[in-house]
Amino acid sequence: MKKRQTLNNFVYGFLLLLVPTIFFLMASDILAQEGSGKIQGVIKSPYVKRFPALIFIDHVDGTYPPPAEKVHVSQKDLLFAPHINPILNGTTVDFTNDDTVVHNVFTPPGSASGFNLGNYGQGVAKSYTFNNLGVSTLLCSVHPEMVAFVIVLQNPYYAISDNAGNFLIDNVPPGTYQIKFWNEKLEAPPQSVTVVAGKAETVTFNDLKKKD
Amino acid sequence: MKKMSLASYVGILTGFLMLLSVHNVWAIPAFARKYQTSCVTCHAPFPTLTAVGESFRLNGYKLPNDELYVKDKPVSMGAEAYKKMFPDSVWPSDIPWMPPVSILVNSNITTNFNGPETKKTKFNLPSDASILAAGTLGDDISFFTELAFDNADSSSKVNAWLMYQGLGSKLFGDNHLNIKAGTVGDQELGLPNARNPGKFSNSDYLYHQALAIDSHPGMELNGFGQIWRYAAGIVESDTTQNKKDYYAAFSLKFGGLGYSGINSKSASEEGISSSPTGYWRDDSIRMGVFAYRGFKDKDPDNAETYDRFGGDIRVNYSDLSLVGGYAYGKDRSITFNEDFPEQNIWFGEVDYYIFPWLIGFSRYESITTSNSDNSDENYSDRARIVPGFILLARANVKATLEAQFYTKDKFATAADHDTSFYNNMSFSLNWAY
Repeated sequence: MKKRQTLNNFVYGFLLLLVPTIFFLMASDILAQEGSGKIQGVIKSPYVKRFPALIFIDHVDGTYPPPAEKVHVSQKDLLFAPHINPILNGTTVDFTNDDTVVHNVFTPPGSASGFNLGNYGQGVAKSYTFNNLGVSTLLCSVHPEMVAFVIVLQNPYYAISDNAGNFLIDNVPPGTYQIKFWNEKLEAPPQSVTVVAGKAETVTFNDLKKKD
Repeated sequence: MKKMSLASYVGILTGFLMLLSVHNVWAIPAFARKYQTSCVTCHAPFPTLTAVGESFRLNGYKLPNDELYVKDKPVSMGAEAYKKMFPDSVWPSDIPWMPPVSILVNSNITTNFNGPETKKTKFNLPSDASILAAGTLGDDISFFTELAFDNADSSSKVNAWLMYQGLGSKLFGDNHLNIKAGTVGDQELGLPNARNPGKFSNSDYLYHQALAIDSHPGMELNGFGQIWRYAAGIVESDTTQNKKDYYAAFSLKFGGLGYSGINSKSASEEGISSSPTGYWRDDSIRMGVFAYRGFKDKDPDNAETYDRFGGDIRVNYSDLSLVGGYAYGKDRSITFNEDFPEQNIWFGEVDYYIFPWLIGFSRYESITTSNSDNSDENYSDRARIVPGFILLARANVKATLEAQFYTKDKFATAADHDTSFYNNMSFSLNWAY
């Protein structure tokens, strides 16, 4: 009898804690949604099926520190993976050689950050901290076909397009922004968009040109 | 004329037969594999090029926005970003993933109705075959190689070229100035479907034979826009003298798919454009002119020049094609400072696509010679009608039934007459893979 009473008390106590917790979480989620908006859109080019695009907000007021954890770019099967790497300014990237052959990482002229990590063998990791906004092309001097891109951003509001060219940038603070487009094959002029809390703004990129 | 007649005419005939010996017909299934598309995207029927096929060829074996359509991903010889490293790196390019090799086999059964031969029917199964390889090496270099073998006289022939596209593209525009080196000329002169690489009927066109212009080692500049294209080249001559042949061609196309392969009404990203009502259709008018000056030795002591000027027209409307070509030919002995008879060569052809796989055609061809006593068969008047049907059994297997009826040929029963000029009927099978 005493055991049963104890169990009942435990269940009641648990429910008393759980119900307000659920209410709190729901309310905070609603508040968060009301305080931010979305940017969604589509890139109208068949190229994005093979060559995904990065869509990002050029500048958002505030400071966005880099993540404490390093970003990892692997060199495996004679490929860089991932191929497109959007990161926050100040982020350190670990480049690991996961092949059984020697690799190298360097950036050609025109990259936002210029470096050459030298040649290194299997299992070795080399690091580099990206402190310049913009695109840095990653090449391997040992295997000229290998290529990847690091795009250093001021803020975390970006998206990579899917196979159909659709993209979604979520939780964007209200404001008016320049939306930029980056693709290894195409270029497009930036677009201005005003984000309103609780709403989704639609952006279409259809004025696309092939890069020279 | 008398002192050179026998030796020189033997020389002419030898050259003529050499020209006929290897049929460099071109259709390259390696591209079907590369894009995983049917042969009929580019040929209707092979080797005759469709509008898409013609633009694909002109564009150095690439489609507009080619990389979107390549299924057989090429092997990179360097990331594009290596262009920024130049001259401290090799300029990046790529090569085909699979060797872009194709085989084309031609065969026929031919029955001669007249002539002195006892064997009237011949099984040329096969008559000749070619190993073809073609493709791209990066964005701006394309290549072509043909090894052709002929069973009739065990002859073989190699054709090959390399083309760089877009010389000074910032100044002139894309594909307005391309340079090609190798065996060139044969493809650019006269109507594409009347010359051997893309001929419509199985038999050679008299027009093509009489022009006697084959591909030669040399260099060519060419270019094209939406409605125009040109080619001009300088090539090795068939003479021991220090002479080179040279040629020029220009054509315009109105309506249909432009030479650039981009439908003027569509965005550049459309890629493979063609008639929405059928790949073989291309409602358009094409007109062209060409000129060729060549040098050859009739025999070691007798060099001559030969000039060819021509014009042609092709009108496509729905399932009907009307084709016409005219050429004027004049040969002159340099050694003896004498003119040879002049020749006027023309043909008219009607092609009708009863079905996409069954095409009827009929052609009339004529050579008339002026200033000649018609005492030599190479300078005699000749005319023939060539009716036939083409059956495209599969996209890459073709059967042709055609006949040749001479309405004018005074040498038709001569013992030493070229057998290809007898009245005949032939059934041919061609396949490529």
